[in-house]
Parts: sequence; C-alpha cells; structure tokens
Amino acid sequence: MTTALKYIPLLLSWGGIVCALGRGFPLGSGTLAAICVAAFLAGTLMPLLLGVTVAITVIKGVVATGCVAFWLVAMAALYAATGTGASRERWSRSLHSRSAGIGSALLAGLLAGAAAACQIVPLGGAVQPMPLAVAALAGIAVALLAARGERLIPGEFTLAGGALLALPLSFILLITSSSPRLDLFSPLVMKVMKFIHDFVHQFFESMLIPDHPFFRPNVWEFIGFFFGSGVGLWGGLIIWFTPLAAVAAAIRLERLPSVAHIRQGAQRRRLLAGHIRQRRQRLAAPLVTALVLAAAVYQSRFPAVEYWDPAPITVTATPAGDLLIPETGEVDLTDGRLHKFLYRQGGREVRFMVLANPAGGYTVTLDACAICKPQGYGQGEGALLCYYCNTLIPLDTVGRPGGCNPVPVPARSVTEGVRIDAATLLNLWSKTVQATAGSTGEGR
Amino acid sequence: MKGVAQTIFRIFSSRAVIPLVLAIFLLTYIGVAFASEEALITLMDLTRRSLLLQGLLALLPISAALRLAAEGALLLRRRRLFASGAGGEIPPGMFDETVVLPSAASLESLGERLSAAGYTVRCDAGFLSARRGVSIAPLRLLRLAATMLLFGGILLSITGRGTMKLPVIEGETLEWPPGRGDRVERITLRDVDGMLLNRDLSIELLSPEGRRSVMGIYPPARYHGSWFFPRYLGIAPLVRFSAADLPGEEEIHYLLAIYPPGKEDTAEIPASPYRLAISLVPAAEGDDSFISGRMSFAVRILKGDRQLHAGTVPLGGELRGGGCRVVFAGFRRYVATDLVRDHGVLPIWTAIVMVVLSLACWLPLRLLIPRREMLFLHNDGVVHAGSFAGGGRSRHAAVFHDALDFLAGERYD
Repeated sequence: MTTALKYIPLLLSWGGIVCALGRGFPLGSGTLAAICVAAFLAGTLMPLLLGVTVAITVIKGVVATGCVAFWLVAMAALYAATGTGASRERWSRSLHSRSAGIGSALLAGLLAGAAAACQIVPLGGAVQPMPLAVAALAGIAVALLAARGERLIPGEFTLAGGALLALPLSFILLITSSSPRLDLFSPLVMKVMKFIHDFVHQFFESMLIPDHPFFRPNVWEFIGFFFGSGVGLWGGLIIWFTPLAAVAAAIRLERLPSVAHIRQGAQRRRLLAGHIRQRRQRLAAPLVTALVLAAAVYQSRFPAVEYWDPAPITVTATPAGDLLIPETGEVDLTDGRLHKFLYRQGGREVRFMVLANPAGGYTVTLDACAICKPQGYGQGEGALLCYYCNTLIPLDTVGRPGGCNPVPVPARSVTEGVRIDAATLLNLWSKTVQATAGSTGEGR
Repeated sequence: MKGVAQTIFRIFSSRAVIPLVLAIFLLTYIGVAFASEEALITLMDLTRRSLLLQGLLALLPISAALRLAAEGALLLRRRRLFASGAGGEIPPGMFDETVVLPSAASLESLGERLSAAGYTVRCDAGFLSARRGVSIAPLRLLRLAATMLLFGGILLSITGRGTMKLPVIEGETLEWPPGRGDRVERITLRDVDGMLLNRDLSIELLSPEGRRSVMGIYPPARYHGSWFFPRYLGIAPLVRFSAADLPGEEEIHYLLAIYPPGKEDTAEIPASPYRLAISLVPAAEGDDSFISGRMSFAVRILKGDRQLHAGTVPLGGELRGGGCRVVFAGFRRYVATDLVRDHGVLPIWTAIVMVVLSLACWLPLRLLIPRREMLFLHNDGVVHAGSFAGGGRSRHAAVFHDALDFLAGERYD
C-alpha cells in the first residue's frame, strides 16, 4: 500500500512529461501515446535486462547528461537573446521538429519506465512480477490519458526554446528524486560542496593567504561558511535553477520589435503590447518548471526512508594506547550492520564506525567525512547516508578516502576483533573533522 | 593578409569565446569528477601538463584583450559620433533601433524638445545627439581588463608556480639560497587587533651582508625573488633522551607539528626502538605557549608498540619512568614556510579588485542613472536616427518615437 502511494507522484510526473511533449512537439495525440507507451514498457524491462545497479547508473548518467545539455541550451538561448546573434525563431524551429519530438518521447518514456521499475525491483533481491506489471499498466494508462488530456491545457500555455527541454526534464528529475538511489540533487550538493571546499583551499594556497590561527574568529566564521553544507545546498540550488532562470531571462530580455518606422502611436503601442503579452505568456512554462524542480529538491532533501543509526558505544584505550573492539560482545561486528563507537581522551572525543567488509575483515572509519560537519552517517539499503549533506555512500566504497566518504582509519583485524591506534584516531579526528567543524585554533 | 588578420581578430574577439572556453573547462571538470575525487586539483594538474588545455586557457586572456581593444575602439568611435556626427551615417549594431525617414523639420527645434525632456543635447548643422545618464562602457572595459588579468594570472600561476619548503627556525640560517641564506634572528607571534587578523607573525632575518629584513604574514614578503609564505607554526624542542639499554644520551632538536595544542607528533630516537609521542599541554587561559615561551609537554615513551611510561614535563624539566629519562632542555620557535615562485599572484589580486570595483559601480549606475542616447543625422531631406538605452527602455523609446513623429511632421504640423 505504501509503495503504491509512493508511486502516485511518479505517475503524475509521467503524465506531466507526456502533456509537455504533446504541447511542445508537433505529434498527434495517437502517435505520442503510442511512442510513450512503447518506451515506458521498454523502460520497465531495463532493470530486468541490465540489472538494477547498471540500470541506475544508466538512468543517472542519461539524466545528468540531459541536465548538462539543458545548461548549454539555456546559456545559448540567453546568449542569443542578449546579443545580435541567432534569433529565437531559429532556436524554436530547430527544437520543434517532429523527429525531435519522437526522440524526446522515446527517451523520456524509457527513463520514466526504468526509474519506475528501479523503485520496485529490489537491489539483489528476487523480482516480483505482479507489482512490476501493475506499475507498467499504470504507466500505460497515464500515458494514454495524458496524451488525450493535453488539449485541455489552455492554448496560451506554450513551450518554446529552452522551456521545451526544461519541463519534461524537470518531471524526470522529480521522478528520480523520489528515490535516494536515483536522486541527482544530493550528489550535486555534495559535489558543489567539495568543489567550493577545494576552490577556497586552492585560492588560499595560490593567493598565499595565511592560515586560520591568524584570522579574527568572526572572519574565520565567515570563511567557514564556505565549508558548510549550506554553501553546498545553495550552490546546488543555483546550479539546479540557473538554466531555468536563464531560459526565463532569455524570454524576458528578448528585444521587442522595432516600431520606429510606424508613425501611428496607437499602432505602435498595440504592436508592442501584443508582443509583451505573448512574452509574459511564454514565461508560464518556466514558472511551472520551477515549481516541479522545487518539488524535486524537496523530495531529495526529505526522503521518506529510515536509516539504521545505532547509539555509539564508549570504548577505552589499553595502556599501550590501542583500542580493541571485540568481534562479539556488546555488539556483533559480523552482522553486516554499522556499529558506532565513542572514544574520549581528556576533553576530546572521537566517533568512529566499524563495518564488516565482504573480504572478511573490518572497515574502520570516522563517523564523519573530510568536507561536511561531523553529523555522522546512517545505514540504508546498500549505502550509508551522510546526515549533513544527504549524500548516499555505496557500502562497497566505504573505506575509500575522498569526497563525502567517511574518513578511513588505519586498523588491524586481529583474532579478537579490531585493533586501532588511539593517537592516530585522535589525530585523524583533529586533522579532518575539527577543520570541517569550522573551529579556530587548528593548523591547516 | 589584412583580411585574414581581421577575420582572426573578429573570431577571437567574439563574445562567444570566453563562455565557450569556460564551458569546455566545465565539461572537462565534470568528466574529471567522474574519475577523481580531487577533481579540481586533477584538472589543474592536467592543465599544467597539457599544452592543449594551456592553449585553451590562454584563449581567455587573449580574447579578453582583443575584446578590450575592439570595445575600446567602438567606444571612441561612438564618442566621436555623438560629439560631431563624424562619418555622417549610423553604423550598424551600435543602436537598439535605427530608422531612416524623410523629414524637413529642423533639428534645432527637436533639440529644444529633447532638452525639455531632460536630455543633454548637442546640435550642429545636420546633426543632433541627445543623452541622459551615465555610460557603463568604461566599466565594461574595466571588467574586460580584469578578465584578461584574472585568466592571465591563472595561466601564469598554473604553468609557472614553483614551491620550495623551507623550515624557518629561530637562530638557524635559512637553507636557501644554498650557503647564502639569511639568519633567522627572531620569530615573534603577537596578538593584534586588526580588521581581518588577530595575530601577527614577524620573522626577523639578517642577511650575510648584514642587511635586516622582516617577513610578515600578509601581504607576503619577497625573499630572493620568491614569495615568503609562512604556513604552520611549530615547536622545536631540544630533547635529551637516555635509556638503560642505550649506550649514551641522545640530544636532538626535533621539529614538531604540535602547535596549537591538540596535535600529537612522534619523535623517533635514532638507531633505537624508542620513540616519543609528544603533544603540547594547553596553556592557561589567556596564555599562548608559542607567544610566551612557557610550555609543558605531554609525553608517552614507547618502545616498539609498548608504552613504557607517560607523563607531563615542563620546559626545562625531566621525565623519568620505564627505565628512560627525557629532558626538555630548551626550545626554538619554528615556522614551516613555503618559498613560492608565482607570477600570477599580483595579476589575480589586481583583477579581483577591478571586478569588485566595476560591479560596485555598475549596479547603482545601471539601476539609477542608466545611459540613454539618441542620434539624428540630417542629409538631403532624409534623417538617419538611432536610439540606445542601457535601462529605462520603455520611457526612452517613447521619447524617441515622439521625436521621430515630430521629424516626420505627422503630429506636429
């Protein structure tokens, strides 16, 4: 029942895609419905044929490529509108062809069908044919209804230029953001955060700017803003919405036609008013797209998924300065779940995690990464989730350094369990985590 | 030949070049990000090693310079046109609207109307120019110059940067230049109440020729043609170590990255299984060990993986235990410094200042007093008219159209 409810926004988005394609391209409703149904059906089979993991990679890759293409199209549209180059009509003509419509409908149907199936087919589990068949039938019904219902949308709602690409793409992003496995916004936030972190660091290095022990605390707090998830989120939002804003700006900045040759004031005003009205109507599509993109961001930021997040167990060091985590005892390290521990020395404390790896050993990491504030991780299906930036870390990459992956801690698997050097743990925490927490008085 | 040069000039001074090159770098960055977690550093490294990427990057300052020349020439031409109507015709692409209409009306009368509408009018035989507001064209030139300096600086920095690590220890002679390095007289860290910084570091040097100089924090000083960039502060304690199974006492000056307190560093005792894990004990409230020179060390004496003893020892004191004796006989301040040879630093900073300046002026000018211009050239009963507005387009267009109606005699006869 819950799965069915979760499936409703996906079907609505699919309906939105079909309507947008119907409105934007010169395809008859019959042709549009036939292509969309066929493509959706083929898409639902994709995870079965390729495997869910490959299908997810393909979907994310294609959608990400679509986003980059949308960026380029939007910038070109803005360039054309503000310069003396190609006119809007030329843009529209090349995008509005029947062949472009068929191609777009095929691609959108494949992606929507595959994304729908990926939410039903479990990772590595057995495929249940009934839910998949119901989903496919629902997708077909929605495509047929939307292809016929498109004509009910007011005629003033037009899709031209960049908006034609924007609206279907935004619905696809809404579909993918409903599943953490397919979501693109959270990885984008993480990548932006990493980029800004690296950029600020490189800028400081290149411009020979001194380290934070020398800065006033308020100045460092300001600089620290660039290392927070806030900047990643805002940067992600800017990247997410900028092409749409560029499309809207291209429409808004389009020069009105020259009326200087007309010697009748009323005629001039009528002509200009007509163009201004038409320009305003064309802004409706970017507005709807903005709402859909905002919904996708909301779904991405507040996923309806629960994560395993055990309370950390306090551990103490041996006289030799080692931490020994027994394989079985208070917790069973071999159970495949994430286990969290807390080590205190003096006024300092370190949170770290132990996870059994497929090689039969243990992966030990800090409960923090090198770029986010240390809010820790939770364990979901096949992945850890960084609570700070909502990035999913596939379990098979836990233990590798970089990005939002938890910082690996050198450890030895011994007969009794896992042995970790306490000083190394403290130094790692100080080096990587306190810096991201924006604390002062720490060397770079 | 001249035609080819003009074509090349037109291509490279096109306003599409910079966005295109930046888009290529963006796509390259995205591609690199798939393969590497350190995408920015990898891209910088790729650019350092690839002539193709360097050539592409070089297009940015080149295009900015050519556009600067082209737009500068256009600005001069425009000024001449508005000053005297030089050329006698309206060049294409300079105005938002241009129109040609037969007219016998006098430009002087039109000038009076436009003056009354708030325009500054210049009128001569067969020529009238009217303008309002302030032109942002000089700011565009400033921004283009900044773009040229910024990307030129980035290119110089990426391709020509060289860094040499140089430990700077109180009382010691710098290792660079070999055999001719300055002697570090004193390292001073003090609290200051600056606008951005609350600490100031000064490193006093004495050259072999007896010349004194002081290296500060920012702006960075120059040392033998390189930027002198202090990176970390450290402590160099003089440690004496002896153990029951060692033949004698070891006396070593260690360079330890243990400042500020909270970091632990390891000091290996040469040719022995012993090592010391040393950290700085946090100083009392209001005190700073590096500034005051008052410090205590938390020490763990290790033999292999085994901890023999642990304790705290003040500077000048000793720690005994586990058959070992450790004395902290003295210390020197130490600064891990980079000598950086980079010709891009100054252009980049200059560009940043220019961009900030141009944006700070552009926004109020664009919003409050945008430039609006009209030009009328009267030849043989025909008027060539052009209109341009940087802002307030509708109202300006209305005045322009009204002026055209007047010239055409449609409404004012």
